[in-house]
This record gives sequence, structure tokens and C-alpha cells, in this order.
Amino acid sequence: MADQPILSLDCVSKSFGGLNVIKNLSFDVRCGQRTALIGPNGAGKSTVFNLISGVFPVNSGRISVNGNDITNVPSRKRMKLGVSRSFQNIRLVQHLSVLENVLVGQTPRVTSLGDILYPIRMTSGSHWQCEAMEVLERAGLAAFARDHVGNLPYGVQKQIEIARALLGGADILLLDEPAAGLNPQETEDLSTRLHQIADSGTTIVVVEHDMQFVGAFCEYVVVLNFGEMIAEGTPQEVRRDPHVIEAYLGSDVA
Amino acid sequence: MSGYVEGILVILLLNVIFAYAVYWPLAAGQLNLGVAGFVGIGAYVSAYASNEFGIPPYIACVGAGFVAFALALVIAVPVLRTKGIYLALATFAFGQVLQSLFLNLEIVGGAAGYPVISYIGVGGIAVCTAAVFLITAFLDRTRFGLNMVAVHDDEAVSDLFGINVRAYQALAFALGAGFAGFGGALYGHHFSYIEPQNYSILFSISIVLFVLLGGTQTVVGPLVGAAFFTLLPEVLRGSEEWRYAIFAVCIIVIMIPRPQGLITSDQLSALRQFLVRDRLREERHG
Ligand SMILES: Nc1ncnc2c1ncn2[C@@H]1O[C@H](COP(=O)(O)OP(=O)(O)OP(=O)(O)O)[C@@H](O)[C@H]1O
Ligand SMILES: [Mg+2]
Repeated sequence: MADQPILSLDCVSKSFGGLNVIKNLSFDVRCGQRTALIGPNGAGKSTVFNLISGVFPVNSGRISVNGNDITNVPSRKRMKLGVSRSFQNIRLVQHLSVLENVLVGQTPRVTSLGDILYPIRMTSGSHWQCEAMEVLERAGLAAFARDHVGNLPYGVQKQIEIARALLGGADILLLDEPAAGLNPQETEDLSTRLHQIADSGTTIVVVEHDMQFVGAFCEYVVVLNFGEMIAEGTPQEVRRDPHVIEAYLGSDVA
Repeated sequence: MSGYVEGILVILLLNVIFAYAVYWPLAAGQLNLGVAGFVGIGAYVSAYASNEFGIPPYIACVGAGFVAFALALVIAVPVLRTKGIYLALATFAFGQVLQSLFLNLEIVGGAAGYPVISYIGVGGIAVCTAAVFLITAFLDRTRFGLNMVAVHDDEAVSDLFGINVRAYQALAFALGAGFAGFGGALYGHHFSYIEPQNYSILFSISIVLFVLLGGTQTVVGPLVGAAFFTLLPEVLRGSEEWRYAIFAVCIIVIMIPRPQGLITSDQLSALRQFLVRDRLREERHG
């Protein structure tokens, strides 16, 4: 079953009011394949992530993860079934420290009442905290562990979101514009970090406008325009596709 | 201890319990204006239990706290469907319903009030207040407290990370109600008399006010607010007819520069960092 897709969308449609934002969209993500979802502004990329993570229900179609149909699974339970995510606009808990934000990311794996009532914010030796610190260290964020997230630079906050998403233990990481707003050095660090994560067995799907980043990092690209898939393939194939060139006409990113 | 000092101490201790009754719902983003109703439930249930069935006073008080907790869990289902000011209105209405229930229940004296036979002294109340504070401070340090902050700040993200948002909101509401009931029960057993007029909206509002004044971001805020609200009017006793006016002005003057309350989380973490730095310096020199 090595070839079974880890994430699969089958004829998914979504409309807001009268606006058809996603139209009959189908695509697969293979296990371990670094995938990008690209398209012009308003194409519906973030909406696709919202549908996969369950922020909104679909109007029709089917979403499955690891072969399980999750279309009607409540959003709260989807991370346990394998999908975690970051947000286009940073959504960290402003009143918590960096470490505490990352601890919140572990929630899908916390099941016992003992763990919920353990004074985790008072001690520092528990395996939960060691694990969270390890992830922060690997992301180069250990120095910020005790800081309030609100006061940290944008690039750091984006990294924290990834660390938090990672700790849910999901197989698939949906990252909505992880490189947006980062300087070239930060983008390179991000790329290194994402390669590490991918190598440790997590399947990464990014929404990204930075085509250089997509070309360098991703093996497979799905292109969306007005809620429809207009092309898919390797970055090289997609870049030559006439539909893609047309969709991006006027902005020479493709 | 003089009777005057003891009297103020008891009020202070009870106000601290009531402060935490309002703090928990606020920590989850809910303004509970019906808290006086839960205080009344605790007072009446415990008084009836100890008067009629001879249940020992402390057991009656703790039990009454659990009754208020359970009632709040049931009420939470419809009430927590509303949000923001509508939630405040719904809790206000519920509080009014409870007050008129107390007024009309003849088995507990109706409008005439209800005497409480067994007695709990200032020492017992102090222990109970310490327990409420310690439970709150402990819960705040657990994942339960962590997740509560997350629910307060961002419901959608909390949900995606697997937190049962509805359950946390209901528990915060019920935990507050439980403390309210417990505090009300102690009040009745100390002052030996309870009457429906005590459990009015004015009482709810004044508790909410002192918690907001102290600050809702940390567990110490409500403590500071309760102390301030109880003690300042006493300090101002010298100027008898003006003391509540001066008191009100003090509150306004404080709230202008500190809209988040007297104690904020930034402040506490700054203090913590300051202490840690001090200790490091001592270690280096010592
Ligand atoms: N909750 C919502 N209610 C109504 N309309 C929405 C909602 N979410 C998205 N839309 C609409 O759906 C369309 C697609 O939005 P979406 O955010 O998915 O685009 P995107 O591809 O992520 O764009 P960008 O690159 O700018 O982030 C837009 O027209 C947007 O206005
Ligand atoms: Mg988007």
C-alpha cells in the first residue's frame, strides 16, 4: 500500500453564500511527497486548508487521510487522525509563553486526566516539556522559550507556529504561506528546517507565493485558479504549463 | 482580635472566594452576572441541610458547593449558547429567577429570611478561603489552566488543536458557580441568617467589579481586587459621608491607566525575570 495517497480530495466543492470558492476539486498527496498548493490571490488555497482541517464543512465531495474518510469528522478530532496546520495570519495564543504555546500543540496526544491535572507550568522535568524544548531547540528557538509570544519578531512567531503544529504528532503538516514576510536568510533557514521535518517522515503541504522557495523545496505542485485545479506535476512541468502561465499573466512569477 | 477587625477579616475572606467564583468564568471569556444566584443556592442548600438533617456544617458547605456546580453544568448547556453581552444578560436573568425563587420558597422562610443554626468561625473560613485560592492557583498551573487561556484567546485554534472548547467553557462556568455556592454557604453559617435580598444583581456586579479591578489575567488579580475593595472603604471611614464617593473616584483613577486591572501577566513575568536575575547575580558573587 506504499502508493496509497496519504491525503486525498475527491470532487470537493465549497461555496460561501452564492460564491463558489472551491469547484469540484480533486487531488492526491503521496506519502512523504513535499507538495505545494499554489495559485493567484483568492484562488481558494487557504479555503482548501480550512476544509481539510475542518474549519468549514464541505458542500460536497470527500476528504480522506490515510485511507480514512474524514469528511464528517469534527474539526477537533482531525489532528488525531493525522492533519495538523499553521495559519496564514499568525494565530498563537498571545497570553502564553513560547513554550506554553508549543505545549498546547501536544493536546491531541494528551488523553489521561492525570496529564491534564499535572502542574506542567510549575515544573520543568516532565517528558512533555522535554519534548517541547527539544523541538524548540531544533528550530533554534530555545532562547525564547520563556518569552511572551506577542513581543517576538514575525519570523520567530512563524517558526513557533510550525513547532506547535509539529507537536500534535500528525503525519501531514499543512503550512499556509510559511515563507511570507521572511527575509532571504530566514527563508533559507525555514527550508533547511522543513527538509529536516520531511526527512523525519512528516508529509508537508505548503501554500506559498514564493516560487523560488516552491521550486527548491517541493517535489510536486498543484495549481489552483478560481477554485479549480488547472495543473499539477513537478515544479518544472507546472512552470511550462500554458494554463498556469495564463493564470499568472501580468505577474511574471510563473 | 477585636470584633471590628474580625468582622472585616471575614468579609475579606468571603470576598476572596466570591472573586474566584467570578474569575473562572472570566478566564474563559464569560461575564457571569448571575453569580449572586449561585451564592444564594449554596447558602440555602447548606442551611437547609444542616438545619433539617443535622449534616455537619463543613460537609453541608462543601456539598452545597457541589450542588451549585452541578446546577451550573446543567444551566451551561443553554446559557453558553449565547456569547458576549447576551451571555451576560442570560446569566443576569438566571440570577433574577433564583432570587425570586428564594423570595417565594416558604420552607426556607421566603422574604422573611432563614436562620442558620450551626456556626463556622473566622478560622474555619480562613482555611476554606486558602483552599479555594490553592485549588485555583494549582489548576492554573496545569494543562487545564493552559488550555483555558487558549480557549479564552482563540476558540477556533483551540478546537483545531483538540481542545474540547464547549467542555472547558462549561467547566469554567461551573467551577465558578461551585466556589460561589461554597462561599455563600460559609456566609450563612457565619452570620447565622440569610435572606433573599442579599442575592441581588448589585451583589453580582460588585464582585465582577472588584475582579476586573484586580485583573483577570493572573490568579493573584482577584485576590488584590477583593482586598482593595474590602479594605479601602474601611481606610476611608474617617470621612463618613464622602467615603463611597472617594472610593469610586479611586477606582476610576486606577482603571484609566490600567484597563487590564491592577495585576497583569506581563507585570508578573517581568517580576519573575527580575527575581531570577537577582538570584543569578547572587550566585555569581556568592
Ligand atoms: N469565511 C469566508 N466567508 C466568505 N468568503 C470567504 C471566506 N473564506 C474565504 N472566502 C473567499 O474565498 C475566496 C478564496 O479565499 P482564500 O482565502 O481561500 O484564497 P487564497 O487562495 O488563500 O488567497 P491568498 O493567496 O490571498 O491567501 C476569496 O474570494 C475569499 O473572499
Ligand atoms: Mg490564503
